[in-house]
Amino acid sequence: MLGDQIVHETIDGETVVINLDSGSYYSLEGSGAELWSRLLGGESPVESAAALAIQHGADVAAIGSVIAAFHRELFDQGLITAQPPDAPTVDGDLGSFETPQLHVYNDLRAHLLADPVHDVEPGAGWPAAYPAR
Amino acid sequence: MAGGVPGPVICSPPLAPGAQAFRELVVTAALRARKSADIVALRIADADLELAIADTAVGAALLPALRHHIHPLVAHGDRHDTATTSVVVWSGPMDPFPWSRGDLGRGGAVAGLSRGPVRATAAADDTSLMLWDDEHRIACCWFAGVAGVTRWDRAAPLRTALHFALAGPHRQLVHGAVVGMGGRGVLLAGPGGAGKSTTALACLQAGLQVVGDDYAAVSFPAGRTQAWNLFRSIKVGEREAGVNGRDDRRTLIVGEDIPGSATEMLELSAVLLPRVAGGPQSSVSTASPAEALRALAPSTLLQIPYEERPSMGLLAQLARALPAYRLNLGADRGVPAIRQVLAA
Repeated sequence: MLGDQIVHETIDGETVVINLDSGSYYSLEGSGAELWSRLLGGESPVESAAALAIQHGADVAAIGSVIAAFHRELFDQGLITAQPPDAPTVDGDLGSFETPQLHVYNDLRAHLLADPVHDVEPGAGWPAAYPAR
Repeated sequence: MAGGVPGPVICSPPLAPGAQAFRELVVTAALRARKSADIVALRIADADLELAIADTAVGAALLPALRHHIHPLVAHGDRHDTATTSVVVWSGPMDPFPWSRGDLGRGGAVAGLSRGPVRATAAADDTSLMLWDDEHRIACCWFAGVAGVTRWDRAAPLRTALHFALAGPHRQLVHGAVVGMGGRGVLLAGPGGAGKSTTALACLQAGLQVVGDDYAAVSFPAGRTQAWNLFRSIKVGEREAGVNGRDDRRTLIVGEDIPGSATEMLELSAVLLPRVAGGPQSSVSTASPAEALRALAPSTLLQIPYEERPSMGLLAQLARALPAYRLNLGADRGVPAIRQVLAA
Protein backbone atom coordinates (compact mmCIF):
# COMPACT_ATOMS: atom_id res chain seq x y z
CA MET A 1 0.00 0.00 0.00
CA LEU A 2 2.66 2.50 1.08
CA GLY A 3 5.94 3.00 -0.71
CA ASP A 4 8.81 1.47 1.26
CA GLN A 5 10.38 4.89 1.85
CA ILE A 6 7.23 6.45 3.28
CA VAL A 7 7.02 7.14 7.01
CA HIS A 8 4.14 8.80 8.80
CA GLU A 9 2.69 9.73 12.16
CA THR A 10 -0.57 11.35 13.19
CA ILE A 11 -0.70 13.97 15.94
CA ASP A 12 -3.75 15.94 17.01
CA GLY A 13 -5.72 15.13 13.88
CA GLU A 14 -2.91 15.99 11.48
CA THR A 15 -0.88 13.35 9.69
CA VAL A 16 2.73 14.10 8.78
CA VAL A 17 4.08 11.97 5.95
CA ILE A 18 7.66 11.95 4.67
CA ASN A 19 8.78 10.56 1.34
CA LEU A 20 12.38 9.67 2.12
CA ASP A 21 13.12 9.04 -1.55
CA SER A 22 12.09 12.43 -2.85
CA GLY A 23 12.75 14.56 0.23
CA SER A 24 9.23 15.96 0.11
CA TYR A 25 7.02 15.88 3.15
CA TYR A 26 3.32 16.40 3.63
CA SER A 27 0.65 17.27 6.11
CA LEU A 28 -2.81 15.80 5.79
CA GLU A 29 -5.40 18.04 7.34
CA GLY A 30 -9.17 18.34 7.33
CA SER A 31 -10.46 14.82 6.87
CA GLY A 32 -7.09 13.84 5.39
CA ALA A 33 -5.84 12.15 8.55
CA GLU A 34 -9.01 10.08 8.88
CA LEU A 35 -8.96 9.08 5.21
CA TRP A 36 -5.29 8.13 5.57
CA SER A 37 -6.11 5.99 8.58
CA ARG A 38 -8.98 4.29 6.75
CA LEU A 39 -6.73 3.70 3.74
CA LEU A 40 -4.05 2.07 5.90
CA GLY A 41 -6.72 0.01 7.57
CA GLY A 42 -7.45 -1.59 4.23
CA GLU A 43 -10.75 0.12 3.61
CA SER A 44 -11.67 0.65 -0.05
CA PRO A 45 -12.71 4.12 -1.27
CA VAL A 46 -16.25 2.81 -1.75
CA GLU A 47 -16.38 1.52 1.83
CA SER A 48 -14.97 4.81 3.17
CA ALA A 49 -17.49 6.81 1.17
CA ALA A 50 -20.41 4.73 2.44
CA ALA A 51 -19.32 5.02 6.08
CA LEU A 52 -18.53 8.73 5.93
CA ALA A 53 -21.72 9.57 4.02
CA ILE A 54 -23.77 8.15 6.89
CA GLN A 55 -21.55 9.78 9.52
CA HIS A 56 -21.75 13.24 7.94
CA GLY A 57 -25.16 13.16 6.31
CA ALA A 58 -23.52 13.50 2.93
CA ASP A 59 -24.30 12.36 -0.59
CA VAL A 60 -22.36 9.12 -1.04
CA ALA A 61 -21.44 9.77 -4.67
CA ALA A 62 -20.14 13.26 -3.88
CA ILE A 63 -18.09 12.09 -0.94
CA GLY A 64 -16.79 9.18 -3.00
CA SER A 65 -15.64 11.64 -5.63
CA VAL A 66 -13.71 13.67 -3.04
CA ILE A 67 -12.07 10.53 -1.64
CA ALA A 68 -11.09 9.32 -5.11
CA ALA A 69 -9.47 12.66 -5.89
CA PHE A 70 -7.59 12.55 -2.59
CA HIS A 71 -6.29 9.05 -3.29
CA ARG A 72 -5.21 10.21 -6.72
CA GLU A 73 -3.18 13.01 -5.13
CA LEU A 74 -1.55 10.53 -2.75
CA PHE A 75 -0.68 8.27 -5.65
CA ASP A 76 0.66 11.12 -7.78
CA GLN A 77 2.96 12.13 -4.91
CA GLY A 78 4.29 8.57 -4.63
CA LEU A 79 2.85 8.03 -1.17
CA ILE A 80 0.73 5.01 -2.08
CA THR A 81 1.57 2.35 -4.59
CA ALA A 82 -1.88 1.25 -5.75
CA GLN A 83 -3.18 3.37 -8.59
CA PRO A 84 -6.73 4.45 -7.81
CA PRO A 85 -9.33 3.90 -10.52
CA ASP A 86 -10.45 6.91 -12.47
CA ALA A 87 -13.54 8.40 -10.95
CA PRO A 88 -15.79 11.17 -12.30
CA THR A 89 -16.20 14.39 -10.36
CA VAL A 90 -19.58 14.41 -8.68
CA ASP A 91 -21.01 17.54 -7.10
CA GLY A 92 -23.38 17.07 -4.21
CA ASP A 93 -24.09 17.69 -0.56
CA LEU A 94 -21.05 16.90 1.62
CA GLY A 95 -22.95 17.50 4.86
CA SER A 96 -20.52 18.02 7.72
CA PHE A 97 -17.71 16.22 5.90
CA GLU A 98 -14.56 18.29 5.85
CA THR A 99 -12.63 18.25 2.60
CA PRO A 100 -9.19 16.58 2.93
CA GLN A 101 -6.20 18.82 2.43
CA LEU A 102 -2.81 17.61 1.28
CA HIS A 103 -0.10 20.21 1.89
CA VAL A 104 3.17 19.55 0.08
CA TYR A 105 6.52 20.81 1.43
CA ASN A 106 9.57 20.74 -0.81
CA ASP A 107 11.87 23.05 1.16
CA LEU A 108 14.25 20.27 2.22
CA ARG A 109 14.75 18.76 -1.20
CA ALA A 110 17.65 21.06 -2.02
CA HIS A 111 19.47 19.94 1.12
CA LEU A 112 18.77 16.32 0.32
CA LEU A 113 19.86 16.68 -3.26
CA ALA A 114 23.18 18.14 -2.12
CA ASP A 115 24.02 14.53 -1.28
CA PRO A 116 24.39 11.89 -3.94
CA VAL A 117 20.80 10.77 -3.88
CA HIS A 118 19.27 8.29 -6.20
CA ASP A 119 16.40 5.89 -6.12
CA VAL A 120 18.31 2.72 -5.38
CA GLU A 121 16.22 -0.42 -5.38
CA PRO A 122 17.21 -2.85 -2.63
CA GLY A 123 17.64 -5.68 -5.12
CA ALA A 124 19.42 -3.68 -7.79
CA GLY A 125 22.87 -2.24 -8.22
CA TRP A 126 26.04 -3.55 -6.61
CA PRO A 127 26.64 -6.42 -6.01
CA ALA A 128 23.84 -7.64 -8.29
CA ALA A 129 25.63 -6.03 -11.21
CA TYR A 130 29.24 -5.00 -10.77
CA PRO A 131 30.00 -1.76 -12.57
CA ALA A 132 33.05 -1.62 -14.75
CA ARG A 133 35.78 0.32 -12.98
CA MET B 1 28.41 -2.38 27.77
CA ALA B 2 27.49 -0.05 30.60
CA GLY B 3 24.58 2.17 29.70
CA GLY B 4 24.19 0.21 26.51
CA VAL B 5 20.98 -0.30 24.60
CA PRO B 6 19.92 -2.81 22.01
CA GLY B 7 20.96 -1.99 18.48
CA PRO B 8 18.62 -0.61 15.87
CA VAL B 9 15.78 -2.72 14.57
CA ILE B 10 17.20 -4.32 11.47
CA CYS B 11 14.90 -6.55 9.45
CA SER B 12 15.97 -7.20 5.91
CA PRO B 13 17.27 -10.04 3.75
CA PRO B 14 20.85 -11.22 4.24
CA LEU B 15 23.68 -9.80 2.19
CA ALA B 16 24.43 -11.17 -1.25
CA PRO B 17 27.68 -13.19 -1.40
CA GLY B 18 29.70 -10.36 -2.96
CA ALA B 19 28.53 -7.91 -0.34
CA GLN B 20 29.16 -10.41 2.45
CA ALA B 21 32.75 -10.81 1.21
CA PHE B 22 33.21 -7.03 1.21
CA ARG B 23 31.74 -6.78 4.70
CA GLU B 24 34.22 -9.37 5.98
CA LEU B 25 37.08 -7.58 4.26
CA VAL B 26 36.17 -4.26 5.88
CA VAL B 27 35.53 -5.65 9.37
CA THR B 28 38.77 -7.64 9.22
CA ALA B 29 40.70 -4.54 8.14
CA ALA B 30 39.12 -2.51 10.96
CA LEU B 31 39.94 -5.12 13.58
CA ARG B 32 43.50 -5.33 12.27
CA ALA B 33 43.80 -1.53 12.44
CA ARG B 34 42.40 -1.55 15.97
CA LYS B 35 45.36 -3.61 17.19
CA SER B 36 47.75 -0.73 16.59
CA ALA B 37 45.31 2.07 17.30
CA ASP B 38 45.12 4.57 20.12
CA ILE B 39 42.02 3.52 21.99
CA VAL B 40 40.01 5.83 24.18
CA ALA B 41 36.74 5.30 25.99
CA LEU B 42 33.91 7.66 25.20
CA ARG B 43 30.76 8.18 27.20
CA ILE B 44 28.20 9.80 24.93
CA ALA B 45 24.52 10.16 25.73
CA ASP B 46 24.94 7.92 28.78
CA ALA B 47 26.36 5.12 26.64
CA ASP B 48 29.89 3.77 26.65
CA LEU B 49 31.79 3.33 23.41
CA GLU B 50 35.39 2.75 22.54
CA LEU B 51 37.01 4.85 19.88
CA ALA B 52 40.07 3.35 18.21
CA ILE B 53 42.06 5.74 16.06
CA ALA B 54 44.77 4.23 13.89
CA ASP B 55 45.60 7.34 11.88
CA THR B 56 46.95 10.24 13.91
CA ALA B 57 46.19 12.92 11.34
CA VAL B 58 42.62 11.74 10.84
CA GLY B 59 42.20 11.54 14.60
CA ALA B 60 43.50 15.08 15.00
CA ALA B 61 40.87 16.25 12.53
CA LEU B 62 37.99 14.37 14.15
CA LEU B 63 38.76 14.57 17.86
CA PRO B 64 38.40 18.29 18.65
CA ALA B 65 34.61 18.14 18.56
CA LEU B 66 34.55 14.81 20.46
CA ARG B 67 37.46 14.99 22.90
CA HIS B 68 35.32 16.13 25.81
CA HIS B 69 33.60 12.72 25.81
CA ILE B 70 36.81 10.86 26.60
CA HIS B 71 36.18 8.95 29.77
CA PRO B 72 39.27 7.82 31.69
CA LEU B 73 37.66 5.22 33.91
CA VAL B 74 36.77 2.51 31.41
CA ALA B 75 39.36 -0.20 30.85
CA HIS B 76 40.04 -1.71 27.44
CA GLY B 77 41.03 -5.15 26.38
CA ASP B 78 43.42 -5.94 23.61
CA ARG B 79 40.70 -7.70 21.70
CA HIS B 80 37.39 -6.29 20.54
CA ASP B 81 34.46 -8.13 22.03
CA THR B 82 30.87 -7.66 21.01
CA ALA B 83 29.84 -6.50 24.50
CA THR B 84 31.63 -3.26 23.68
CA THR B 85 30.50 -0.96 20.92
CA SER B 86 33.57 0.08 18.96
CA VAL B 87 34.19 2.83 16.48
CA VAL B 88 37.39 2.16 14.56
CA VAL B 89 38.92 4.92 12.47
CA TRP B 90 41.70 4.09 10.09
CA SER B 91 43.16 4.94 6.73
CA GLY B 92 45.55 3.22 4.40
CA PRO B 93 45.27 1.27 1.21
CA MET B 94 41.78 0.20 0.18
CA ASP B 95 40.80 -1.34 -3.09
CA PRO B 96 38.46 0.80 -5.17
CA PHE B 97 34.93 0.40 -3.91
CA PRO B 98 33.15 -2.22 -6.01
CA TRP B 99 30.08 -0.07 -6.53
CA SER B 100 29.43 2.96 -8.67
CA ARG B 101 28.09 6.33 -7.64
CA GLY B 102 24.74 5.25 -9.02
CA ASP B 103 24.56 2.56 -6.33
CA LEU B 104 24.58 5.15 -3.56
CA GLY B 105 21.35 6.27 -2.00
CA ARG B 106 20.43 8.96 0.51
CA GLY B 107 23.39 10.06 2.58
CA GLY B 108 25.71 7.84 0.58
CA ALA B 109 23.91 4.65 1.61
CA VAL B 110 25.28 1.63 -0.22
CA ALA B 111 22.12 -0.27 -1.05
CA GLY B 112 23.82 -3.60 -1.73
CA LEU B 113 25.70 -3.43 1.55
CA SER B 114 22.78 -2.57 3.78
CA ARG B 115 20.95 -5.74 4.64
CA GLY B 116 20.67 -7.92 7.69
CA PRO B 117 22.98 -6.61 10.41
CA VAL B 118 25.01 -4.34 8.13
CA ARG B 119 24.57 -0.72 7.12
CA ALA B 120 27.12 1.11 4.99
CA THR B 121 27.61 4.59 3.62
CA ALA B 122 30.32 5.84 1.33
CA ALA B 123 31.48 9.14 -0.08
CA ALA B 124 30.69 9.43 -3.75
CA ASP B 125 34.34 10.22 -4.45
CA ASP B 126 35.55 7.07 -2.66
CA THR B 127 37.35 9.05 0.05
CA SER B 128 35.53 7.58 3.02
CA LEU B 129 33.46 4.60 4.06
CA MET B 130 31.42 3.81 7.16
CA LEU B 131 30.25 0.26 7.71
CA TRP B 132 28.16 -0.53 10.79
CA ASP B 133 28.08 -4.21 11.71
CA ASP B 134 25.42 -4.84 14.32
CA GLU B 135 26.58 -8.41 15.00
CA HIS B 136 30.07 -7.26 15.90
CA ARG B 137 28.84 -3.95 17.38
CA ILE B 138 31.50 -2.16 15.39
CA ALA B 139 31.48 0.94 13.22
CA CYS B 140 34.28 0.65 10.68
CA CYS B 141 35.21 4.18 9.59
CA TRP B 142 37.77 4.29 6.81
CA PHE B 143 39.15 7.53 5.42
CA ALA B 144 41.48 8.00 2.47
CA GLY B 145 43.82 9.88 4.77
CA VAL B 146 43.05 13.26 6.27
CA ALA B 147 42.02 14.50 2.83
CA GLY B 148 38.96 12.29 3.18
CA VAL B 149 37.83 14.21 6.28
CA THR B 150 35.36 16.84 5.14
CA ARG B 151 34.47 20.10 6.83
CA TRP B 152 31.20 18.61 8.03
CA ASP B 153 33.11 15.60 9.38
CA ARG B 154 35.08 18.00 11.58
CA ALA B 155 31.92 19.74 12.80
CA ALA B 156 29.97 16.54 13.46
CA PRO B 157 32.60 13.77 13.54
CA LEU B 158 31.48 10.21 12.89
CA ARG B 159 27.82 11.29 12.99
CA THR B 160 26.51 8.37 10.95
CA ALA B 161 28.56 5.88 12.97
CA LEU B 162 27.23 7.39 16.19
CA HIS B 163 23.69 7.22 14.84
CA PHE B 164 23.97 3.45 14.63
CA ALA B 165 26.14 3.01 17.72
CA LEU B 166 23.75 4.99 19.93
CA ALA B 167 20.37 4.18 18.36
CA GLY B 168 17.96 2.24 20.48
CA PRO B 169 14.30 1.88 21.23
CA HIS B 170 14.37 4.93 23.51
CA ARG B 171 17.17 7.00 22.04
CA GLN B 172 17.37 8.88 18.77
CA LEU B 173 19.74 11.36 17.18
CA VAL B 174 17.86 14.50 16.21
CA HIS B 175 18.64 17.44 13.97
CA GLY B 176 18.24 20.44 16.22
CA ALA B 177 19.97 22.80 18.62
CA VAL B 178 19.50 22.44 22.36
CA VAL B 179 20.01 25.34 24.78
CA GLY B 180 18.86 26.00 28.31
CA MET B 181 19.58 27.07 31.82
CA GLY B 182 19.42 25.48 35.24
CA GLY B 183 19.33 22.00 33.74
CA ARG B 184 16.18 22.68 31.68
CA GLY B 185 16.40 23.04 27.96
CA VAL B 186 14.55 23.73 24.76
CA LEU B 187 15.03 21.98 21.44
CA LEU B 188 15.25 24.30 18.44
CA ALA B 189 14.00 22.36 15.45
CA GLY B 190 13.99 23.38 11.85
CA PRO B 191 15.83 23.09 8.58
CA GLY B 192 19.23 24.57 7.86
CA GLY B 193 19.04 28.34 7.76
CA ALA B 194 16.25 28.59 10.33
CA GLY B 195 18.63 30.16 12.86
CA LYS B 196 19.58 27.23 15.11
CA SER B 197 23.35 27.78 15.14
CA THR B 198 23.10 31.56 15.41
CA THR B 199 20.73 31.24 18.35
CA ALA B 200 22.90 28.59 20.03
CA LEU B 201 25.95 30.84 19.71
CA ALA B 202 24.02 33.81 21.10
CA CYS B 203 22.88 31.68 24.04
CA LEU B 204 26.42 30.49 24.73
CA GLN B 205 27.70 34.07 24.68
CA ALA B 206 24.85 35.10 27.01
CA GLY B 207 25.83 32.47 29.56
CA LEU B 208 23.09 29.95 28.82
CA GLN B 209 23.80 26.24 28.58
CA VAL B 210 24.31 24.76 25.12
CA VAL B 211 24.06 21.04 24.37
CA GLY B 212 24.52 21.44 20.64
CA ASP B 213 23.89 23.74 17.72
CA ASP B 214 22.82 21.18 15.15
CA TYR B 215 22.57 17.66 16.58
CA ALA B 216 21.71 16.00 19.86
CA ALA B 217 20.70 12.58 21.11
CA VAL B 218 17.27 12.50 22.69
CA SER B 219 16.24 9.83 25.17
CA PHE B 220 13.05 9.15 27.09
CA PRO B 221 13.81 7.72 30.53
CA ALA B 222 10.81 7.25 32.84
CA GLY B 223 8.54 9.75 31.18
CA ARG B 224 11.17 12.45 30.90
CA THR B 225 12.74 13.84 27.76
CA GLN B 226 16.48 14.38 27.82
CA ALA B 227 18.77 15.88 25.21
CA TRP B 228 22.41 14.81 25.24
CA ASN B 229 25.44 16.50 23.77
CA LEU B 230 27.20 14.92 20.82
CA PHE B 231 29.63 17.52 19.50
CA ARG B 232 31.17 20.62 21.04
CA SER B 233 31.13 22.54 17.79
CA ILE B 234 29.17 25.53 16.60
CA LYS B 235 29.01 26.66 13.01
CA VAL B 236 29.26 30.35 12.34
CA GLY B 237 28.89 32.57 9.31
CA GLU B 238 26.24 33.00 6.71
CA ARG B 239 24.94 29.79 5.21
CA GLU B 240 25.52 29.70 1.50
CA ALA B 241 25.72 27.10 -1.15
CA GLY B 242 29.22 25.72 -1.03
CA VAL B 243 30.71 22.98 -3.13
CA ASN B 244 27.84 20.76 -4.29
CA GLY B 245 25.46 22.80 -2.16
CA ARG B 246 27.06 21.66 1.10
CA ASP B 247 27.04 23.69 4.28
CA ASP B 248 30.50 25.23 4.36
CA ARG B 249 30.17 27.53 7.35
CA ARG B 250 33.17 27.82 9.67
CA THR B 251 33.26 25.49 12.65
CA LEU B 252 34.27 26.72 16.09
CA ILE B 253 35.15 24.34 18.89
CA VAL B 254 33.53 25.39 22.15
CA GLY B 255 36.18 25.66 24.85
CA GLU B 256 39.00 26.08 22.35
CA ASP B 257 38.00 28.59 19.67
CA ILE B 258 35.37 30.29 21.82
CA PRO B 259 35.02 30.42 25.61
CA GLY B 260 32.58 28.14 27.35
CA SER B 261 31.82 24.47 27.48
CA ALA B 262 29.20 22.17 26.06
CA THR B 263 26.56 20.97 28.48
CA GLU B 264 26.26 17.20 28.62
CA MET B 265 22.51 16.92 29.15
CA LEU B 266 19.40 19.03 29.63
CA GLU B 267 15.87 17.98 30.52
CA LEU B 268 13.75 19.26 27.66
CA SER B 269 10.74 21.38 28.47
CA ALA B 270 9.69 22.70 25.04
CA VAL B 271 10.30 22.58 21.31
CA LEU B 272 10.95 25.91 19.62
CA LEU B 273 10.58 26.43 15.90
CA PRO B 274 12.94 29.29 15.00
CA ARG B 275 12.62 31.45 11.96
CA VAL B 276 14.27 34.74 11.12
CA ALA B 277 11.53 37.36 11.47
CA GLY B 278 13.42 40.65 11.71
CA GLY B 279 12.56 43.48 14.08
CA PRO B 280 14.37 44.37 17.29
CA GLN B 281 12.85 41.78 19.62
CA SER B 282 12.21 38.09 19.29
CA SER B 283 8.82 36.70 20.22
CA VAL B 284 7.17 33.36 20.78
CA SER B 285 3.73 32.09 19.84
CA THR B 286 2.09 28.74 20.41
CA ALA B 287 2.57 26.07 17.75
CA SER B 288 0.79 22.75 17.35
CA PRO B 289 2.47 19.39 18.03
CA ALA B 290 2.09 18.59 14.34
CA GLU B 291 4.05 21.74 13.46
CA ALA B 292 6.78 20.58 15.81
CA LEU B 293 6.86 17.17 14.15
CA ARG B 294 7.01 18.80 10.72
CA ALA B 295 9.98 20.88 11.84
CA LEU B 296 11.74 18.01 13.51
CA ALA B 297 11.11 14.81 11.60
CA PRO B 298 11.86 15.52 7.93
CA SER B 299 15.16 17.29 8.52
CA THR B 300 16.22 14.59 11.00
CA LEU B 301 15.19 11.57 8.98
CA LEU B 302 16.40 12.87 5.64
CA GLN B 303 19.90 13.07 7.11
CA ILE B 304 19.84 9.46 8.24
CA PRO B 305 20.92 7.12 5.48
CA TYR B 306 18.55 4.40 6.61
CA GLU B 307 15.25 4.97 8.30
CA GLU B 308 14.55 2.10 10.66
CA ARG B 309 10.91 3.01 11.09
CA PRO B 310 10.88 3.44 14.89
CA SER B 311 12.74 6.74 14.42
CA MET B 312 9.59 8.50 13.22
CA GLY B 313 7.73 7.15 16.23
CA LEU B 314 10.33 8.48 18.66
CA LEU B 315 10.20 11.90 17.04
CA ALA B 316 6.42 11.88 17.29
CA GLN B 317 6.75 10.90 20.94
CA LEU B 318 8.95 13.93 21.44
CA ALA B 319 6.48 16.23 19.66
CA ARG B 320 3.60 14.89 21.76
CA ALA B 321 5.48 15.17 25.04
CA LEU B 322 6.55 18.81 24.86
CA PRO B 323 4.75 22.08 24.21
CA ALA B 324 5.82 23.78 20.98
CA TYR B 325 6.31 27.44 20.20
CA ARG B 326 7.29 29.39 17.13
CA LEU B 327 10.37 31.47 17.89
CA ASN B 328 10.31 34.59 15.72
CA LEU B 329 13.93 35.71 15.77
CA GLY B 330 14.72 39.39 16.00
CA ALA B 331 17.90 41.38 16.46
CA ASP B 332 18.23 40.16 20.06
CA ARG B 333 18.90 36.70 18.58
CA GLY B 334 16.24 34.99 20.65
CA VAL B 335 17.94 34.93 24.04
CA PRO B 336 15.29 36.89 26.03
CA ALA B 337 12.46 34.86 24.50
CA ILE B 338 14.22 31.58 25.30
CA ARG B 339 14.77 32.71 28.89
CA GLN B 340 11.06 33.51 29.05
CA VAL B 341 10.05 30.04 27.82
CA LEU B 342 12.47 28.34 30.22
CA ALA B 343 11.20 30.37 33.15
CA ALA B 344 7.54 29.55 32.43
